[in-house]
Amino acid sequence: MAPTATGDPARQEQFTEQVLEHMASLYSGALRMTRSPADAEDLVQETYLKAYRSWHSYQQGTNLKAWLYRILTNTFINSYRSKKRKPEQTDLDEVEDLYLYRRLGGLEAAAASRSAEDEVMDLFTDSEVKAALENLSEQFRMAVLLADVEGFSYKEIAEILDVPIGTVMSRLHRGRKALQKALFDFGMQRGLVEDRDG
Amino acid sequence: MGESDDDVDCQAVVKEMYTFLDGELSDGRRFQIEQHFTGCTDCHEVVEFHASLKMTISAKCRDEVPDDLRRRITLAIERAQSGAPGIVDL
Repeated sequence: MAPTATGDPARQEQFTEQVLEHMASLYSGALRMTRSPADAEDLVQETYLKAYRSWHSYQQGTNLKAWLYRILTNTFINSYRSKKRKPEQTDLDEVEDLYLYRRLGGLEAAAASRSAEDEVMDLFTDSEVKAALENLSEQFRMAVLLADVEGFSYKEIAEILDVPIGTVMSRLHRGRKALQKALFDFGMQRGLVEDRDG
Repeated sequence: MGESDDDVDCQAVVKEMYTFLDGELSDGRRFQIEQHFTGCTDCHEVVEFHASLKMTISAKCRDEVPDDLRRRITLAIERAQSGAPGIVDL
Protein backbone atom coordinates (compact mmCIF):
# COMPACT_ATOMS: atom_id res chain seq x y z
CA MET A 1 0.00 0.00 0.00
CA ALA A 2 2.02 3.23 0.33
CA PRO A 3 -0.58 5.85 -0.58
CA THR A 4 0.60 9.31 -1.50
CA ALA A 5 1.46 11.63 1.33
CA THR A 6 -1.62 13.75 1.44
CA GLY A 7 -3.90 12.63 -1.35
CA ASP A 8 -6.14 10.12 0.39
CA PRO A 9 -9.01 11.84 2.28
CA ALA A 10 -9.48 8.89 4.62
CA ARG A 11 -5.80 8.97 5.53
CA GLN A 12 -6.06 12.72 6.12
CA GLU A 13 -8.98 12.27 8.43
CA GLN A 14 -7.10 9.60 10.33
CA PHE A 15 -4.24 12.03 10.77
CA THR A 16 -6.39 14.67 12.44
CA GLU A 17 -8.19 12.14 14.60
CA GLN A 18 -5.08 10.40 15.78
CA VAL A 19 -2.26 12.87 16.11
CA LEU A 20 -3.91 15.84 17.80
CA GLU A 21 -4.52 13.99 21.04
CA HIS A 22 -0.76 13.66 21.53
CA MET A 23 -0.15 17.39 21.49
CA ALA A 24 0.08 17.83 25.26
CA SER A 25 2.61 15.05 25.54
CA LEU A 26 4.67 16.42 22.67
CA TYR A 27 4.53 19.95 24.04
CA SER A 28 5.64 18.87 27.53
CA GLY A 29 8.46 16.85 26.02
CA ALA A 30 9.47 19.78 23.82
CA LEU A 31 9.59 22.04 26.88
CA ARG A 32 11.92 19.64 28.70
CA MET A 33 14.12 19.35 25.62
CA THR A 34 14.38 23.03 24.67
CA ARG A 35 13.80 24.52 28.12
CA SER A 36 12.15 27.45 26.37
CA PRO A 37 8.40 27.92 25.81
CA ALA A 38 8.92 29.78 22.52
CA ASP A 39 11.26 27.11 21.15
CA ALA A 40 8.96 24.37 22.41
CA GLU A 41 6.02 25.84 20.48
CA ASP A 42 8.06 26.09 17.29
CA LEU A 43 9.38 22.58 17.78
CA VAL A 44 5.89 21.11 18.20
CA GLN A 45 4.59 22.98 15.16
CA GLU A 46 7.46 21.76 13.06
CA THR A 47 6.92 18.23 14.34
CA TYR A 48 3.28 18.32 13.23
CA LEU A 49 4.26 19.68 9.84
CA LYS A 50 6.78 16.89 9.33
CA ALA A 51 4.36 14.29 10.66
CA TYR A 52 1.74 15.45 8.19
CA ARG A 53 4.17 15.22 5.30
CA SER A 54 5.36 11.75 6.21
CA TRP A 55 2.03 10.38 7.44
CA HIS A 56 2.12 7.82 4.60
CA SER A 57 5.12 6.19 6.26
CA TYR A 58 3.33 5.65 9.58
CA GLN A 59 2.15 2.06 9.94
CA GLN A 60 -1.28 1.82 11.52
CA GLY A 61 -1.23 -0.33 14.61
CA THR A 62 2.28 0.66 15.67
CA ASN A 63 2.82 3.07 18.54
CA LEU A 64 1.84 6.47 17.17
CA LYS A 65 3.20 8.45 20.10
CA ALA A 66 6.59 6.77 19.61
CA TRP A 67 6.48 7.63 15.92
CA LEU A 68 5.70 11.27 16.73
CA TYR A 69 8.37 11.37 19.42
CA ARG A 70 10.94 10.16 16.96
CA ILE A 71 10.13 13.10 14.70
CA LEU A 72 10.12 15.47 17.68
CA THR A 73 13.48 14.20 18.89
CA ASN A 74 15.14 14.30 15.48
CA THR A 75 13.87 17.81 14.86
CA PHE A 76 15.11 18.89 18.26
CA ILE A 77 18.55 17.38 17.71
CA ASN A 78 18.90 18.84 14.23
CA SER A 79 17.56 22.32 14.81
CA TYR A 80 17.05 23.26 18.43
CA ARG A 81 19.68 21.59 20.54
CA SER A 82 21.92 24.08 22.23
CA LYS A 83 25.34 24.50 20.68
CA LYS A 84 27.05 24.39 24.03
CA ARG A 85 26.06 21.02 25.37
CA LYS A 86 26.64 20.19 28.96
CA PRO A 87 29.01 17.27 29.42
CA GLU A 88 27.68 14.19 31.15
CA GLN A 89 27.82 14.52 34.88
CA THR A 90 30.99 12.79 35.97
CA ASP A 91 30.55 12.79 39.73
CA LEU A 92 27.87 10.13 39.74
CA ASP A 93 30.09 7.36 41.00
CA GLU A 94 29.54 8.53 44.53
CA VAL A 95 25.78 8.41 44.03
CA GLU A 96 24.80 4.91 45.07
CA ASP A 97 21.66 3.03 44.11
CA LEU A 98 18.81 3.95 46.45
CA TYR A 99 20.43 7.38 46.94
CA LEU A 100 17.20 9.27 47.51
CA TYR A 101 15.45 6.46 49.33
CA ARG A 102 18.17 6.19 51.93
CA ARG A 103 18.30 9.92 52.45
CA LEU A 104 14.57 10.31 52.79
CA GLY A 105 14.37 7.54 55.34
CA GLY A 106 13.66 10.06 58.08
CA LEU A 107 10.36 10.90 56.50
CA GLU A 108 8.82 7.55 57.25
CA ALA A 109 8.15 8.31 60.88
CA ALA A 110 6.57 11.65 60.11
CA ALA A 111 4.37 10.21 57.42
CA ALA A 112 3.72 6.77 58.81
CA SER A 113 0.03 6.96 58.17
CA ARG A 114 0.35 7.91 54.55
CA SER A 115 1.22 5.77 51.59
CA ALA A 116 4.66 5.95 50.03
CA GLU A 117 3.00 7.27 46.92
CA ASP A 118 1.50 10.34 48.60
CA GLU A 119 4.74 10.85 50.42
CA VAL A 120 6.94 11.14 47.34
CA MET A 121 4.23 12.86 45.34
CA ASP A 122 3.82 15.62 47.93
CA LEU A 123 7.48 16.08 48.61
CA PHE A 124 8.50 17.95 45.49
CA THR A 125 6.69 20.63 43.55
CA ASP A 126 6.01 20.41 39.83
CA SER A 127 8.60 23.06 39.09
CA GLU A 128 11.25 21.27 41.15
CA VAL A 129 10.75 18.01 39.31
CA LYS A 130 10.74 19.81 35.94
CA ALA A 131 13.88 21.77 36.85
CA ALA A 132 15.66 18.65 38.11
CA LEU A 133 14.93 16.90 34.83
CA GLU A 134 15.80 19.91 32.67
CA ASN A 135 19.13 20.36 34.42
CA LEU A 136 20.33 16.91 33.46
CA SER A 137 22.73 16.61 30.56
CA GLU A 138 20.92 16.05 27.29
CA GLN A 139 21.58 12.31 27.03
CA PHE A 140 20.34 11.63 30.55
CA ARG A 141 17.42 14.01 30.19
CA MET A 142 16.17 12.38 27.01
CA ALA A 143 16.41 8.87 28.46
CA VAL A 144 14.56 9.73 31.68
CA LEU A 145 11.96 11.79 29.83
CA LEU A 146 11.18 8.98 27.41
CA ALA A 147 11.11 6.23 30.04
CA ASP A 148 9.68 7.82 33.17
CA VAL A 149 7.52 10.62 31.84
CA GLU A 150 6.32 9.09 28.59
CA GLY A 151 6.53 5.43 29.52
CA PHE A 152 8.18 4.17 26.33
CA SER A 153 9.76 0.71 26.29
CA TYR A 154 13.55 0.33 26.04
CA LYS A 155 13.13 -0.81 22.46
CA GLU A 156 11.04 2.22 21.56
CA ILE A 157 13.53 4.55 23.24
CA ALA A 158 16.38 2.88 21.36
CA GLU A 159 14.52 3.54 18.10
CA ILE A 160 13.62 7.11 18.99
CA LEU A 161 17.21 7.98 19.96
CA ASP A 162 18.80 5.68 17.39
CA VAL A 163 21.13 4.03 19.91
CA PRO A 164 21.47 0.41 21.09
CA ILE A 165 19.24 -0.82 23.94
CA GLY A 166 22.30 -1.26 26.17
CA THR A 167 23.05 2.44 25.76
CA VAL A 168 19.47 3.29 26.69
CA MET A 169 19.74 1.24 29.87
CA SER A 170 23.05 2.74 30.89
CA ARG A 171 21.84 6.30 30.27
CA LEU A 172 18.70 5.57 32.23
CA HIS A 173 20.65 4.13 35.12
CA ARG A 174 22.96 7.12 35.33
CA GLY A 175 20.28 9.65 34.47
CA ARG A 176 18.04 8.43 37.28
CA LYS A 177 20.88 8.70 39.76
CA ALA A 178 21.58 12.24 38.62
CA LEU A 179 17.89 13.10 38.89
CA GLN A 180 17.66 11.70 42.41
CA LYS A 181 20.65 13.75 43.41
CA ALA A 182 19.12 16.89 41.89
CA LEU A 183 15.84 16.27 43.72
CA PHE A 184 17.65 15.69 46.96
CA ASP A 185 19.54 18.96 46.51
CA PHE A 186 16.24 20.78 46.02
CA GLY A 187 14.92 19.15 49.16
CA MET A 188 17.94 20.30 51.10
CA GLN A 189 17.66 23.85 49.80
CA ARG A 190 14.12 24.01 51.08
CA GLY A 191 15.10 22.45 54.37
CA LEU A 192 12.78 19.55 53.62
CA VAL A 193 15.37 16.93 54.22
CA GLU A 194 18.52 16.85 56.26
CA ASP A 195 21.79 15.74 54.88
CA ARG A 196 22.36 12.64 56.93
CA ASP A 197 25.93 12.38 55.81
CA GLY A 198 26.75 15.86 57.02
CA MET B 1 18.23 -4.52 53.57
CA GLY B 2 17.58 -8.00 54.91
CA GLU B 3 20.32 -10.05 56.48
CA SER B 4 21.54 -13.65 56.38
CA ASP B 5 20.93 -15.93 53.43
CA ASP B 6 18.42 -13.60 51.85
CA ASP B 7 21.16 -11.14 50.88
CA VAL B 8 21.63 -12.22 47.31
CA ASP B 9 17.95 -11.90 46.61
CA CYS B 10 17.71 -8.43 48.15
CA GLN B 11 20.65 -7.31 46.07
CA ALA B 12 19.04 -8.73 42.98
CA VAL B 13 15.85 -6.81 43.71
CA VAL B 14 17.77 -3.56 44.00
CA LYS B 15 19.77 -4.29 40.89
CA GLU B 16 16.79 -5.27 38.76
CA MET B 17 14.21 -3.03 40.36
CA TYR B 18 14.02 -0.49 37.56
CA THR B 19 13.96 -3.16 34.88
CA PHE B 20 11.05 -4.57 36.87
CA LEU B 21 9.31 -1.19 37.20
CA ASP B 22 9.88 -0.42 33.53
CA GLY B 23 8.08 -3.64 32.67
CA GLU B 24 11.14 -5.03 30.90
CA LEU B 25 11.76 -8.25 32.83
CA SER B 26 10.80 -11.61 31.39
CA ASP B 27 7.66 -13.12 32.94
CA GLY B 28 9.69 -15.70 34.80
CA ARG B 29 12.11 -13.23 36.28
CA ARG B 30 9.36 -10.79 37.16
CA PHE B 31 7.60 -13.53 39.06
CA GLN B 32 10.77 -14.38 41.00
CA ILE B 33 11.33 -10.77 41.95
CA GLU B 34 7.70 -10.33 42.95
CA GLN B 35 7.86 -13.50 45.01
CA HIS B 36 10.82 -12.11 46.87
CA PHE B 37 9.52 -8.70 47.70
CA THR B 38 6.07 -9.85 48.74
CA GLY B 39 7.82 -11.70 51.52
CA CYS B 40 10.48 -9.11 52.27
CA THR B 41 9.28 -5.90 53.92
CA ASP B 42 12.48 -4.01 53.19
CA CYS B 43 12.44 -4.77 49.50
CA HIS B 44 8.74 -4.14 49.30
CA GLU B 45 9.27 -0.67 50.69
CA VAL B 46 12.17 0.02 48.33
CA VAL B 47 10.19 -1.05 45.27
CA GLU B 48 7.14 0.92 46.37
CA PHE B 49 9.23 4.03 46.89
CA HIS B 50 10.74 3.86 43.43
CA ALA B 51 7.42 3.09 41.82
CA SER B 52 6.09 6.24 43.48
CA LEU B 53 9.10 8.23 42.38
CA LYS B 54 8.60 7.14 38.79
CA MET B 55 4.92 8.05 39.00
CA THR B 56 5.74 11.41 40.58
CA ILE B 57 8.18 12.29 37.81
CA SER B 58 5.59 11.41 35.22
CA ALA B 59 2.74 13.27 36.91
CA LYS B 60 4.70 16.45 37.62
CA CYS B 61 6.16 16.97 34.17
CA ARG B 62 2.89 17.80 32.43
CA ASP B 63 2.27 21.14 30.81
CA GLU B 64 -0.86 22.52 29.26
CA VAL B 65 -0.73 23.34 25.59
CA PRO B 66 -1.25 27.10 25.06
CA ASP B 67 -4.61 27.70 23.35
CA ASP B 68 -2.90 29.71 20.68
CA LEU B 69 -0.57 26.87 19.73
CA ARG B 70 -3.42 24.39 19.58
CA ARG B 71 -5.39 26.74 17.34
CA ARG B 72 -2.48 27.37 15.02
CA ILE B 73 -1.70 23.69 14.56
CA THR B 74 -5.33 22.69 14.05
CA LEU B 75 -5.81 25.46 11.53
CA ALA B 76 -2.63 24.62 9.64
CA ILE B 77 -3.66 20.98 9.34
CA GLU B 78 -7.11 21.95 8.08
CA ARG B 79 -5.54 24.29 5.57
CA ALA B 80 -3.15 21.63 4.36
CA GLN B 81 -5.96 19.12 4.00
CA SER B 82 -8.09 21.47 1.96
CA GLY B 83 -5.21 21.78 -0.44
CA ALA B 84 -4.55 25.44 0.28
CA PRO B 85 -0.92 26.35 -0.13
CA GLY B 86 -0.46 27.70 3.39
CA ILE B 87 1.04 24.57 4.92
CA VAL B 88 4.62 25.77 4.62
CA ASP B 89 3.74 28.72 6.85
CA LEU B 90 2.46 26.43 9.60
